[in-house]
Amino acid sequence: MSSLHRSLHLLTAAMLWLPMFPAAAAEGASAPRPAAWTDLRQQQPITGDAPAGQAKSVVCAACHGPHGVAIAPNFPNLAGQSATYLYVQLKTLKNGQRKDPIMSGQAAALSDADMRNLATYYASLPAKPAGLADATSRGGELFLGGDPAQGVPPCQGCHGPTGEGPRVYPSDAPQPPWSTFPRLHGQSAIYVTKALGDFSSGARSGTSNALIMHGVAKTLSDADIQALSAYIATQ
Amino acid sequence: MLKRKPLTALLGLTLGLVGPLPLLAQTDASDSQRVGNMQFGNSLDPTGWGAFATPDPAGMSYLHPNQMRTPTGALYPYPHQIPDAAPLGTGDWVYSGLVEFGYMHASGDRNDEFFQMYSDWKNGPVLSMLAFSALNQKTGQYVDFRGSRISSQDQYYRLRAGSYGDYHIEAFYRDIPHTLSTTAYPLWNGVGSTDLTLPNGLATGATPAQVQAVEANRPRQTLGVTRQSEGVSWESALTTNWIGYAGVTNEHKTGDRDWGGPEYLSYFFTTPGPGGLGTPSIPGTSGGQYDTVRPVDFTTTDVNLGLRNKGGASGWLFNFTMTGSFFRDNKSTLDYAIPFAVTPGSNSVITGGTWSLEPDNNYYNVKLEASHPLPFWHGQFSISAAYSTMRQNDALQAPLSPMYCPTGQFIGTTGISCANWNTTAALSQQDGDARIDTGLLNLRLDFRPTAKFSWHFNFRQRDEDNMTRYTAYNPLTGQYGYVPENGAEPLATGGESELFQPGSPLYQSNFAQIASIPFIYDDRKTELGGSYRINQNNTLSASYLLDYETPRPRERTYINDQHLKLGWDTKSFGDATLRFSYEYQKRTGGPYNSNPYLDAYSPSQPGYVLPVNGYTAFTVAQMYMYDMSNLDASKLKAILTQPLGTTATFTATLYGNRLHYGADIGRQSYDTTGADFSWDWEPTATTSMSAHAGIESTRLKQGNVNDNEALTFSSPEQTDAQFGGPFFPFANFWTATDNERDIDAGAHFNHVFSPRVKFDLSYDYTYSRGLNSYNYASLGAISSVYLPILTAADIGNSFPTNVYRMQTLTGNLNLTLTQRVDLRLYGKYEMGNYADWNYAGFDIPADLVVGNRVYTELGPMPNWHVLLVGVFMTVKL
Repeated sequence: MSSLHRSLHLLTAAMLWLPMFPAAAAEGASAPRPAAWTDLRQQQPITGDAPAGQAKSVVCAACHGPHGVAIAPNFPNLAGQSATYLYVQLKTLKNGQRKDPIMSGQAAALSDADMRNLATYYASLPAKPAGLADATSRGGELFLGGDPAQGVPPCQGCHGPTGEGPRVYPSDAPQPPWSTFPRLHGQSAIYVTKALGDFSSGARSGTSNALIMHGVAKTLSDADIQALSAYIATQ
Repeated sequence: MLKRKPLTALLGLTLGLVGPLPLLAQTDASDSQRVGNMQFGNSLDPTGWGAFATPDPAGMSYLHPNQMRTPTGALYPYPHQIPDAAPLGTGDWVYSGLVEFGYMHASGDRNDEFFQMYSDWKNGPVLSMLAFSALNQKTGQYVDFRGSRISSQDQYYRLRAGSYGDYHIEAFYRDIPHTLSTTAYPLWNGVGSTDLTLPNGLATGATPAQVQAVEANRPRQTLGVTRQSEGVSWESALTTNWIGYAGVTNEHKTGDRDWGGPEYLSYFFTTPGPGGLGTPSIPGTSGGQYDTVRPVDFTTTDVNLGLRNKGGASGWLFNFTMTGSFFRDNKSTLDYAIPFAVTPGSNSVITGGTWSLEPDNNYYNVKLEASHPLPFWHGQFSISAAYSTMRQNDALQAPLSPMYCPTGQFIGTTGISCANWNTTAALSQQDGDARIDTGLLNLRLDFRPTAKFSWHFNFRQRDEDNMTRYTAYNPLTGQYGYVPENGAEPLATGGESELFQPGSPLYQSNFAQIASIPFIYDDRKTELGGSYRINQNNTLSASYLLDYETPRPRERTYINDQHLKLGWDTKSFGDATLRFSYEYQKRTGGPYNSNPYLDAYSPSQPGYVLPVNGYTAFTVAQMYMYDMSNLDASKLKAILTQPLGTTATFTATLYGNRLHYGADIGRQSYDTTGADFSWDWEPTATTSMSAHAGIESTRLKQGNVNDNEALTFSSPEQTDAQFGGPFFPFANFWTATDNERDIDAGAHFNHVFSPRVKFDLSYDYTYSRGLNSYNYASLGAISSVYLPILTAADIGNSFPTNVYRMQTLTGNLNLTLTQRVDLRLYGKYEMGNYADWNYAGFDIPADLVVGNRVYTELGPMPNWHVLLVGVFMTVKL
């Protein structure tokens, strides 16, 4: 084959391919749907201005209590909660990846700084005192040891042995975003039951963490959810 | 029954056993049972998954960023996105599917042998992928089909179905092409059949010029073999712990390939050219060497049936397997007519030759593997025992063909009657009756007394018994031995030295092989080894293996092969993983006997009369077979795996082997040195790059000594087998060195520009260089046959260099047009060059006739360039 022939081949290949780039970009074909969840795997711990957050917390206190402990069991306690977790929840409520009839509207008006400040403020408050959880109950067994036969992992792996947040261990392996994992300690059974139901049904699936919980919650029966909620509420 | 219809019989047997078995509890049925083809792909998509290979941004886990690394530090690739599934009917089934079809066009040197070697590229439509999957997430049942068709010679289809944890069935059909030559100009008609005939105008007795004139106009043909295979397999959880499995594969190889056709040496008759030494010589016109074409028409049927226990019945884990492999050669002979008379000018009777091709073969194997935990030191005992037998019992073929050595005629002036050798009455038995049995027992103990220390002991005994006995005795003549080269040898030499007959003055002193040599190998391996973890970052390991072999009849009655292996794995240097291993091997054995095969030769027989000058030494006494000679070997290897940040990895492997044999005559040394480097980078799921390069050099050195041909048959000194003696003088010593260098390198790039635009580009480079060089003590090392036409300058010290180099650039651009439709553009540019002195001088078909030698192929193109493009539509179902 002559070099001219060879060059023609290469030219043909280039002509066939190169125009496709702008052509592809210009076309308006419908694209595959983008990821419908926020990737928290690289989320760093947040910082904020707690006094500024306190100043913004008046409306919040109506449900979550003046000191971050909810006035009714259908609302979560915020006192002592992970600041990064709270920030992520507000952010996803604002951008629509988490939906709640009350909180979606409340979060819509908050700036990013407001969310950081509020999260920092509530994280700084003292958590609800510890209760008397029964480790031998079904809920206790699930929380501490999981149920391998049903594919249920132990909750303490991410939420800590007392539910007060994850126990971070050193490792060379890529680390989970520990700061985004909530403390469960002392949340009401009604709230935990609703949260697990939302995870299981996919109603709450807007973050990578929610997708983890989707897989976990699907392994739990209704009775297990009740037992687990009762255990957590007494932690 | 099994001999003729193994597939039918064993399918029936398999189905009969399997059919009634219930499909019971939901248990974990692993997929250890597979029939034949593990990897389904083709040249267009070697992975078989290209259409689905969109990396999933979710990675392997929602828990952490970036990909995890293997324990040695290599990054796991991003998993592929699971295709969108749609409901199938109103039940719980969902499905996904894809069809990709298009058109391919190749231009340039599209008939090049290397371009076509494993691909049946054609200009035309291609079904590059047809895939369908359905899954019932509630029951775990699934169906999966995948197929691809480049041509009728290059296609595959596979169907898998089952229920996760319960049962799995699989069926496949596949055609794989293997092109062997695209520049073949066979002289004969009937290529592909068992009867090669001369084209019109040619008959035995033609001159080289006449044959050349015919050869010049022979049509070009492609030689190749297609492997067509199909199979079914089944695996099922019979109970919670018992798993049954069975499989049948049938492979049919059809086609044709280069073959031989000996009609005695023609080199003996080469003479100096008119200009004397140093000028082109004149090829001889006696004898004949033919590059024929043989048919390939094989069927191999593999059957296996097994039962496995994974739950520990009384603490035991079992695996019991029965295997059968049945090879059938559907064309077991090859006859070929020859254009040249073996002795020109004489009324030659030999007008062709015949081959007995591969015999049918039956192989059976039963194997039991079991293991049991031991109550101390976290120990485990394992045992495996196997027995196999391999048998061949085809009807034997007459030594000469009645077509080419007809009854009523004699071979030249030898007095050998064709009628005495052209029927199977000339044989001592009518069937092969060949059999080799093998027994294997392996016992192993593993212990881990502490978390840091483990050790093992392994004992393995393997005995191979060859029960084949054949005596080459012709009841019609009372002679032992055979008439070689289709009768051409006695015709050319005027006598027959390969026949032995007690009491016959003509044959009683011939040194002839009269029986087969049943090689028997018994082998016992004993190994002790262990490893110790010094700390979190360092582990040392060591093992010692004694391999004691007692082969017979071989040059040594026993061999001791000792292997000492040392290893050090460390993570002490930052986050890198370094693995070092060193092996020292020393082989010794009993006294060396350079001719242990005398029982199979005529001097061992009663009635043998020693010639006045004795018989020619079998070989030089210092000729050590490479598998029998002493050996000192060292093998060193170092592997570095260096993570680069969280998204890249650098790997380097350096290795060197030095094998020094205790021989001057035979293999002297074999050295290998190599290095591999690779870099992989996957910053995100949408981008990945890699580059790799490897180089390996090998050097194989052998020595030998030319016998002093002046003494052959004429002096009693021809019996002296000693190196340095009169028959094998030091002056006739020579060495040959084979130097090989192989390089491979490549770079690969994948990027998703947007969800609608994906692009990948690969560059691959392969280079191989071989040089055969030689040295000799004096011109006495050169056979006296050639000395009259060669000078030292002609001989030189090497053959020309052989080179193979190929570069390919392959790209895919995938454009998503709608949610269901993609456009794929494929391009591949391949270029290469090839040089092999074996094909030197073959430019046109007429060059394929050299004296009394006829060749078939011109060889691969010295340079080639090919552009292959394809346009495909992908439609998601």
